[in-house]
Amino acid sequence: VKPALDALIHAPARLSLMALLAAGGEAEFGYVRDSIGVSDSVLSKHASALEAAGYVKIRKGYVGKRPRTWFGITPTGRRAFAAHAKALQDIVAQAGPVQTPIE
Amino acid sequence: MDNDTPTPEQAAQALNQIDRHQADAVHRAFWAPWWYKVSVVVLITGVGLGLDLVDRSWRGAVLWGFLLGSFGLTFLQRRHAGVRAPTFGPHQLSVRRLLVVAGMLAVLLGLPVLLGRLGVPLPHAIGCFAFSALSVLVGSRLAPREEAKRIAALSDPGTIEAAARETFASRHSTGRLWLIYLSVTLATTLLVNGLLVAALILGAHGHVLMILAVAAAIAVVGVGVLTMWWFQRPIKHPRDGDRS
Repeated sequence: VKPALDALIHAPARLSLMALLAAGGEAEFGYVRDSIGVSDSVLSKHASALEAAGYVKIRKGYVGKRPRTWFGITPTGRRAFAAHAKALQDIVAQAGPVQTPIE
Repeated sequence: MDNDTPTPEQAAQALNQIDRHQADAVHRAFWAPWWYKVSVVVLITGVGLGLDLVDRSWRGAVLWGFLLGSFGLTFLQRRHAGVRAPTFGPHQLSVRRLLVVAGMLAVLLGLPVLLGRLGVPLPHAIGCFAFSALSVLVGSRLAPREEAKRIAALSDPGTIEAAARETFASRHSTGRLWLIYLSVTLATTLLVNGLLVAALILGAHGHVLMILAVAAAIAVVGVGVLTMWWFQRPIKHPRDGDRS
């Protein structure tokens, strides 16, 4: 049986973004950018694609005079992420013990 | 497997990546803002201290100083934290959740009364400290583990401990960190509120005490915000960006 991987969130940067958002309530743009290790433009591009798919909600606001962007995950995104993670776990389980690459 | 399906090694690496980021976010929401939480305990104890100070001209300054400090610190934390306090789990009120909230309210309201009847000095201050410190410490200890169970990919609480070690550059175990938090919370609370009690016993002038109380509240808020920013600094994972 082919695992139900979601091509939209399989790219490493998008997977990291979804993982962060699935674990937290809302995450601030700068924190997400630094944590994932991508540039502003790359993060914006990925976030917009996920927003268009209904996986991520983007909220813009101000802290003082500085504009801030906050990301959150939608219920659809949470379900898609959980299914994707389950599919990854299935791949690993089907293969038996796998040597995880050393970070 | 077709070309789009990752190999087991790639899948394992992706799961590892998910675990790291989720552990970081969960840890950041519960453990990292611990100085902020210590500050909240100090400020809430200060509110209790204000309630204990009957018939004193500076009672209002202590009470309102610490109360406004609590609201101000929470407001700043909400505005500036990289990861906002997560609204984990379903929002519907379960019986268990209602019982927990009712129990917490009963302890908060009942403990100072009980301490007062037992003749313990400063019952509100001690009661507020006990309630807030225990809530923060027990919550910080239990919530990440509960959350780890809930999140689909993150199944190993040890990953959270690893994230705690990475952020604090510490060799302490989570249990030992918890004890350190308790000690620091107690010491900081005694330092700030004990100063006010000492001034009261020594019979310092009312205006001096007012200034002392407000300065203490401002200092606690300032330290809470500064350390919150410091501990909220992100842990960089350059590999993720390299592979995007």
